[in-house]
Amino acid sequence: MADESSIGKRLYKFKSFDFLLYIFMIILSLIVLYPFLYLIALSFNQGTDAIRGGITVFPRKFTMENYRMIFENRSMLHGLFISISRTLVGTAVTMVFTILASYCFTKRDMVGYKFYLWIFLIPMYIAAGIIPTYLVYKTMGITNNFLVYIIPNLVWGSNIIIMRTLFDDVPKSLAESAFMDGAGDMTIIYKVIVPLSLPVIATIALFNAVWQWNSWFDTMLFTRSKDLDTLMSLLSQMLLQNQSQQLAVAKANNRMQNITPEVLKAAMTMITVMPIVLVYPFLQKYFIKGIMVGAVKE
Amino acid sequence: MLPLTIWMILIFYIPILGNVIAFQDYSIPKGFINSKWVGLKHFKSFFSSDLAMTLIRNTLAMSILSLIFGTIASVAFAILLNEIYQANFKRFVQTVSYLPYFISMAVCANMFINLLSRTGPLNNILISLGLLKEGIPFLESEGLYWIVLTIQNIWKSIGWNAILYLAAIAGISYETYEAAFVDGAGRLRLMWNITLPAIVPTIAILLVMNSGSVIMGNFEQQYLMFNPMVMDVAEVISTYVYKRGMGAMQFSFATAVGIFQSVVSFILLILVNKASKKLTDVSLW
Repeated sequence: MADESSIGKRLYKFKSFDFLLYIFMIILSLIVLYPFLYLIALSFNQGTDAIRGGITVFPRKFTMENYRMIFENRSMLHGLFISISRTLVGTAVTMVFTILASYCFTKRDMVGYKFYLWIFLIPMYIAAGIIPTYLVYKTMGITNNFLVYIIPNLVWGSNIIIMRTLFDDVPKSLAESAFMDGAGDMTIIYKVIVPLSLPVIATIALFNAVWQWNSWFDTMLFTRSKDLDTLMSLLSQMLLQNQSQQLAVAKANNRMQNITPEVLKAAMTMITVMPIVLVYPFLQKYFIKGIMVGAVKE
Repeated sequence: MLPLTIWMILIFYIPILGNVIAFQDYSIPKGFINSKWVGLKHFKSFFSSDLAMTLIRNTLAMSILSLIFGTIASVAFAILLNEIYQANFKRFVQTVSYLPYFISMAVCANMFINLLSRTGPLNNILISLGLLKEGIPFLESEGLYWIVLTIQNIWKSIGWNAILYLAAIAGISYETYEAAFVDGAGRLRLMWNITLPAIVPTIAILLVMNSGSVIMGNFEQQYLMFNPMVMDVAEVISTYVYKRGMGAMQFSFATAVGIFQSVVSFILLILVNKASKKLTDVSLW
């Protein structure tokens, strides 16, 4: 594991090299974190004041009205609702299918095993372009529908491989003895396999949730209806509009004169980033293990 | 299993067949079967336009810059991080470093647009240090655009990419270092002669895996960071496909360009894999 990779014992005394190394790493961490800090400051700053520039770490004219405006705006709240729905429903459905498919792949004597494996692996390397995908989905009738967030993302080849590797580690004797006791495949999955693999299942679920939460391009590509906009797609739309359109949106939506598109976008960004930062500690606890398993097997 | 396979075929394989519209004059009312077949017309019209070369140049330039400097940055980061002996500090730096990987490109784009704006903090800092007289609009200058996007890519993925390198480093035994130390090797020498060679296979395999994607580019980034001021250097194949296909509804033309992209990507992957097999003995298959 990466965490244990330090050489453990020291060969060299603490020298100026180490000192420089520490300084360098601290600066690097600050560079990574600074964009977050700046946006926090901006999101709490009064809009008209922010135009003057010069904000670096702390807000200059503190205000909550940027956030208040977002939470009073109906389309933003609806976007939040869609974001949460697609994250929860999408992740739950994906996990059920991924677990079932991975369990099937642990049975090497299954009829057509190789065929199924190829079917699942090829899409990892070859993808149809966005235009044919759009047209085919449109013909199938899943565009402009909440299902377009769920159905195309049921399983990913790489997740199946990671999870199969994990399920392979569950001792076969456990499943066999459960089978002797009259348990069916579903019971074995639910009572034996899943409880033993919980940490990695949780990691894959969190990854999936983060992915669902962060997606915006599928909204733009597959939906036209405003009812299906997520927070992320609203944010990316704002980024893509030009200044005057943004200003019009900001002014039309509120009577508060001090709000500008910049601070509004900053506040929206903070709202969309917050959940990620909150699950991050849980996420990073397991994920190194997850990607290592995947990397070794691919 | 069977239902999922049928689903896979519907979701992934039928769209691949949908690529046939590149050889048609597709229109929605006529559908996939009844549209008129026009052979290579759309491919010809793409390659005879002046834009084709510009698009290919922009795509390759940004991808290759990101690939080369991104790899150097994360390899250097992994090697230096390995030199830190204090486990807590190391874990802290590492945890911070891969946070950007988890945020959406929409968020990341907004951050960079703000930071780099004419009145943004980067310009403020440079002005107050006396390095600049007035703010530079970083994202609106053609000379800087590729560099900015490369830096953005590095910022977003340095920590994540370093994970695999750190794992490879973890496989080096302490005895290897100790032996070299006893032979009088200095610290930089250990990094260069022991740590770096240990991760060369990982570097090679990641380069091979990513080689196919240099023609694809990073669509989300390039689409969101695009602005008309730098059109000549910022428009890439993927954004062009999207705009012509979804914006101008030229489905067949856009699909033809997309097919060109996929074919080049596939050929690149195979060639680079072969080259890597010869040079470093590392290959994907």
